[in-house]
Amino acid sequence: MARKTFIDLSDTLNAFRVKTNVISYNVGDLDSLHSSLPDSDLVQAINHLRLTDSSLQAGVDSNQTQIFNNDSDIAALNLFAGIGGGGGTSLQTQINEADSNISTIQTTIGLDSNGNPTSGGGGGTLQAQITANDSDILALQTAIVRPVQLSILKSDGSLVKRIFGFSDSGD
Amino acid sequence: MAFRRPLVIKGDALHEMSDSDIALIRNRVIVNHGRDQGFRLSVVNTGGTLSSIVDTRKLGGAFTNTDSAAAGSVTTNSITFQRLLDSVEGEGYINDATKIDYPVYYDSDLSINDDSNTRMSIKAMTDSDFRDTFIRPVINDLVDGTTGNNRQGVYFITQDSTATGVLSTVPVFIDTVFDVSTYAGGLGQNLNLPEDSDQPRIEGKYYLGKVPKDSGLAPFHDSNYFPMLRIDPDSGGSGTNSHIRLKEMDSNTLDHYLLTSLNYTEAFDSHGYKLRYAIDSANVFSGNQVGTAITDKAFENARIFTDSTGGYFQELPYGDSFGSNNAAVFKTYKLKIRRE
Repeated sequence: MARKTFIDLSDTLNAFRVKTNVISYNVGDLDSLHSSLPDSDLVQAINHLRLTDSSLQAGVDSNQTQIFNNDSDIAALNLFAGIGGGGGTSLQTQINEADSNISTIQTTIGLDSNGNPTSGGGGGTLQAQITANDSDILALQTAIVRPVQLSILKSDGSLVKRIFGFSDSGD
Repeated sequence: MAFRRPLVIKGDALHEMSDSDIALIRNRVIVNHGRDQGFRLSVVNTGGTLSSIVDTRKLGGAFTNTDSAAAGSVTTNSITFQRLLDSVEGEGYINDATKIDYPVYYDSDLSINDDSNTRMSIKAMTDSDFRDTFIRPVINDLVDGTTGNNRQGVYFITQDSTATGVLSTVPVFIDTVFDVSTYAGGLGQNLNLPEDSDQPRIEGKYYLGKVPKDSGLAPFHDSNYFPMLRIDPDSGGSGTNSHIRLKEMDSNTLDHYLLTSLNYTEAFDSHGYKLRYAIDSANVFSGNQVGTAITDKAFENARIFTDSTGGYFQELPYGDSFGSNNAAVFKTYKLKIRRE
């Protein structure tokens, strides 16, 4: 039902008063407008809202542009990282390849996937060679070569010179 | 205080000195003792510092023409000899301010030789090490009372004025006795009395000698001689690149060290190795006699003689009642040496 209020010629003065008050109620109290809005009349208040709405729209548009830009950046990153079907040179691909290489190196060194020496590492692994060299060096130290430190002292025990070298015999 | 074996180079390697190497150096100490001593003796006419030696000689008694009972008794004449002068000459001293003056040795106490490494230490001897190794053992030998070639510089007493090593023609002691030969044949009462109361006859003379130096005991040109090594700070380089050498001691330096240390030890050692001499007549100086003993002889007995007329009487020194007219030993003196 329409809520427009019309004053009829037949209305009594009282009816005119009532309808006028209805109109006033429907318009509302200007003093109740938000303090940020001009309150001299409704037109100014409404116009003011229009101006605010334009400013907000401009901000939204700017943010939307940035979102669009980010979206393309994210797409590029996805492509680089190989997420969502990246190319053959994607990061994911490279990581996968590196993982394979690390496994190869571990095998060569003689380590398991946790980095621990494999039990009974093969004779050709680096770890096996190091282990073999270590025992060889120990054998050399014990039997043939050992470091020698020669101190030359004054009669009161203070040091004159200390010389380092290796001896070719354990004796 | 410790015996050390200094290092020497034999061939192309370092060696600790062997017993024979050390014996050679000790013999060199003896040679240096022949050069000079830390405790010296010399001969003076009077005013010596060692104990005096007394010559005891009997004198004839006063004669009489009364009867034998009136004859004067034999008397004793004493002459004191104090002709041995001692002096201490050990002022020199190796100061060793740098602590690297003396030879080096391998210090096993500071060295480790295990399966994994070798740590060796070569250390300079202290003055005390040097003396314990070379000087004190020699002094211990020098005081044994012998006077052979290996006791060079040791003083001794001899009656042979021409003996090798005699220091002075002035005897340190002259032993005289009454010359009984003047009436030895007069026992038949045919003396021409009175005899002079003092008729001295020299029984013996004693001289001071010293075993002379003979470097042949320990020649440095011997093929068995290996010079000891010393730390030579050298020159050139600095810090971690400084140059240190082990250098063989030259013979002059070694002789200087041996002689200086020997003299100082002889003169002032505080560990029982001062070397001292004394004249001992009563075995109160515990040491060893060097050279011959000095005997002061005198006729112990006397008898009253008469002349051919039987009118004169005189008591004269005489050997013994059995006609053995020999002087008896009145006192024995010994020059003794010892360490203290």
